[in-house]
Amino acid sequence: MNMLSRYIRLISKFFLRDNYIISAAAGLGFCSALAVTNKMENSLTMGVGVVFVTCVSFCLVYPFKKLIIASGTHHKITLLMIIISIFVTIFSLIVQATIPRIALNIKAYIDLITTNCIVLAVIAEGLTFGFWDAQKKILKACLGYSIALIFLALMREPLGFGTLLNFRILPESFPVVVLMVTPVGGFFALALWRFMLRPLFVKTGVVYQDNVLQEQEEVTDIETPPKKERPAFEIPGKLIIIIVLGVLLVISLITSIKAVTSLNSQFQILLPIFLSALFFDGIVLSKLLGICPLLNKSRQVDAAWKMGVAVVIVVTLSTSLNWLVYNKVLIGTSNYLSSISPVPIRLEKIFYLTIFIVTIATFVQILGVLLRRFAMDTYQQMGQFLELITVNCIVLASSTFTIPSGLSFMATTATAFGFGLHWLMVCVWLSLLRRHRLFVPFNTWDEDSVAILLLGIMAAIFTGIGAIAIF
Amino acid sequence: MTTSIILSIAVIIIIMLAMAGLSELTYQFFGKGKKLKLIIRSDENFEKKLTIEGGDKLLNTLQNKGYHIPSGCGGNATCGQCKIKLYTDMGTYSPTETPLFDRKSRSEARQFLEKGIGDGYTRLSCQVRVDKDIDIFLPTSTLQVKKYSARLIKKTQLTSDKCEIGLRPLQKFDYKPGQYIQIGLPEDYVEQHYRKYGEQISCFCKERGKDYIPYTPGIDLYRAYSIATIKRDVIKLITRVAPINPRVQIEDGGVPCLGPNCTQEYIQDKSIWNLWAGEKVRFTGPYGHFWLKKEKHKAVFVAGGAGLAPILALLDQWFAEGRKEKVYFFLGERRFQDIPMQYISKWLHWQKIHRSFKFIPVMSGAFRGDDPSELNEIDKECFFGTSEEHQRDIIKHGLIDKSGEKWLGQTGFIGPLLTNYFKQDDPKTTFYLCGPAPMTVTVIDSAANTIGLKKENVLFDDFTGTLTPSLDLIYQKLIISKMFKQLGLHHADKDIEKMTTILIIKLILRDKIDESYIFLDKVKEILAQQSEKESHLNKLFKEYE
Repeated sequence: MNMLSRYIRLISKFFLRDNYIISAAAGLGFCSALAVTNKMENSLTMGVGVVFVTCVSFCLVYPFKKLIIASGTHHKITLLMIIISIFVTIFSLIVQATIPRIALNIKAYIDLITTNCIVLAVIAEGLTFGFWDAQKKILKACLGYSIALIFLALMREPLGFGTLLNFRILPESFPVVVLMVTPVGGFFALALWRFMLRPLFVKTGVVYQDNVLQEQEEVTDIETPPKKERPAFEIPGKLIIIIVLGVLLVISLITSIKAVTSLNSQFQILLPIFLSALFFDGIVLSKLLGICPLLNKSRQVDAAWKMGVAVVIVVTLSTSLNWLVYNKVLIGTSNYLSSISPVPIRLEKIFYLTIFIVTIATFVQILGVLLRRFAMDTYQQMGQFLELITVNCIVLASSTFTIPSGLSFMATTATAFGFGLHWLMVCVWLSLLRRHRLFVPFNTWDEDSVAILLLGIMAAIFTGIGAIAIF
Repeated sequence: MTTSIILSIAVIIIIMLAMAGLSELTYQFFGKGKKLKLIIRSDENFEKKLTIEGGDKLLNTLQNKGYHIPSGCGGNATCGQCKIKLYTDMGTYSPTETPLFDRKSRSEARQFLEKGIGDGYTRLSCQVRVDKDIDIFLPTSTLQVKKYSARLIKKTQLTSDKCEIGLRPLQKFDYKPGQYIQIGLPEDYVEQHYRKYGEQISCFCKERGKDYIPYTPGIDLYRAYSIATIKRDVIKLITRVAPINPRVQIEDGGVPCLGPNCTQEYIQDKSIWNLWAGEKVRFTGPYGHFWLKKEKHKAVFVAGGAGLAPILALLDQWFAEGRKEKVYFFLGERRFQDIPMQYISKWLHWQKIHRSFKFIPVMSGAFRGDDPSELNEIDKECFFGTSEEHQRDIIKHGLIDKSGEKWLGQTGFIGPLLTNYFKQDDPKTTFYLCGPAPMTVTVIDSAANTIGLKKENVLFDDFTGTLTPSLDLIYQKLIISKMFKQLGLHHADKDIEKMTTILIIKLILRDKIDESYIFLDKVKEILAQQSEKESHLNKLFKEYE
């Protein structure tokens, strides 16, 4: 009997303690957890996908452990990413063939398993262990992730649709909370879960309550005024207003006065795209991506600025590079191959993910190396952020969302630039909000939950702005 | 069809190789770092020098060299697991890692970086870029220590607080008798323990002025146990449950410590958290250099409490090798009930068949406050619980009187007894000691004083790390006492006695090693003075009393 209770405790602890989404202090993998959990079937598919991709790609990675370590750090991430992306593609194709209805809903997020922080983190960590130990750790992290998704879906689907796995469980007359289905609801649901489950976990001993001493320490931390942090770029307020006004003036001039026709027509198309990427259809607040780095880096305003700028640069440049590779190289070779082979072969339909991720990884590596060589100052300011970006879902997402759908080069770049700026904006804003601590948090865990709640409120505001028709 | 598929795969591979080649080319032309030196230090004077290529993150550099630092987030400065102590100034925290350090370590780092105080600071190794020669500290657990697992196959209660467990290693495990292993305590036991007793432990630590280390999830706790056998297939260990405060016994509600000999609560049957037969146990090892000397010598074994384990192994080895020299075996226990009844008949038997072997149990009665020579109820229960033959054996050897009421063996402490057994100097007599620190230190001291034991003939297992300096201190004190006698002071004997008590009881046994050295230096200074030695000495002794 005693052993039974011990095993139950052990198992629940195995999955729920250090669960990246529900209980760990440093959360990873929030993006897809928020985006796909409005339906149980989506969550299940996603959970299976993550487990499959991680386990299988680790099996392929493990024999080449020596090679991967020996090839040096600058190839390590690229190699891992290639292998992961291949299995993601396989899984994505299987899903599309067997359950096309679900695949249609969450195709974009299945692609983004590639950059799911959990997958890369556990595989990279697993390389330092023996095979079965590593598989155990991988199962722990991935099943924990799936369990968290199921928890979230358990809340969102019945409340939002009144159904569970498409079976009606609540009577028709029950008022449906539409909020729960929308992206905004994801933030609220996650924050709510974290707040509700925490006391339960602490009570049952699944999560270890942090020490009392540390709480006091944190409190004293607030009392001493934090050293004055200045944003990296010091521009007087007046100047900013003048510049913004000037930019607006130029834009309005170009758009309304048809001085240069081609330029004007370009802007007619690009400005709405850019604005929608920046505000109304933002990558964080409505597509729910890039949340893990957002939560971690928004703890300090300084870090938020630098990371934001790095993201803007990398997103814009790598997306335009991806467009070139995709449209010129990939489609070109596919056309050629199709013309010489009896069956049409469309490489870009299968391998776009791999190509994108390789391009991004290479680009970031080269940028890092060049910066380190030629602009050490800039590198010391932003270098460490730069390398974190390869595994950032925003970069991959801004490619996969725009390029395969066949947008033009300028439109793609404008969207990516908008996405980057959006991320920068939300990150800095959130870090400013977090500095004004709404309530004194006991630990980083609670603080993260509050940050998620704040993100939810911001998302709600932006949805409101999006409802206003400007053009 | 096939050709086109092959072609398409080839195209993809070419694209990837081109990308990789591009990045490699850039790296080769611009990013190559210069050769640097990396020194890894650890406990027990471990030091290793490596040549590395600079420019990479410390975490990756170490991983490439085969040192695996735990890192959950894969170098993203998110998890905070890869903290490493640096002895070299590698720049201050990057903005990404600052939130992961608490105030204490931040102020320590500031002190080290700005003023050079302290012997290093901690940083996330995934954020340190190696751009100069670097000097780091790694805990022994990270260094190459072999990990084993074993199944618990046997568990026997020896006495009320000692327990013998047998482990069958699942891999091939080789060791020398006298070495010890470290058992990984099951994490949930540790957590349960801290949940139950955490406050009392922190209270006790405050009282003693020690640092209280709260339980941190995810950190493995290891406890050292000596191997009590010379057999390879089943490792025998002796565990003993000790209270954290020796003045409050566990029966009186004292807190059992999670110290080197204290997982017993979890190993006993009556506890809900028990290790039961068949359970898997992880351990590392073997460690230690507590071995039998190769050359022929007279040996004195001194054991106490759970320190019995390595002595058992050494004794086994002694007789297995068929050594003929004289062996004394002192067993220090509190009362008769603390002697493992299973072993006592074995030792008495040895004494019968080996003329060279002498077994001397010594009852101290320490911390229980009563006279060990009067057997109390529990002692009698233990005595009459054994078989008739054993009882007869024990009585015949004159340890207990015929009625079973009185302990007739030695009582008190082992130190003063030594003169009864050893008369003259024998340079080859070697002492093997293992047991509680008060016993070990006093025995070494009196052996050095009375029978002229040589420093290199004292062998022990230094679990706490204080015994080695203590040994040095005791021999320094011996030299000073000789100086006392040479100078021919009035109350030389009295002064020596006073100095000894202060040094051993007030300083060494309270783990104040640095202060002990200062104390001895002060005494030396006074002796070197020309006049008023005695008054100065009195003043000094008063100060320390």
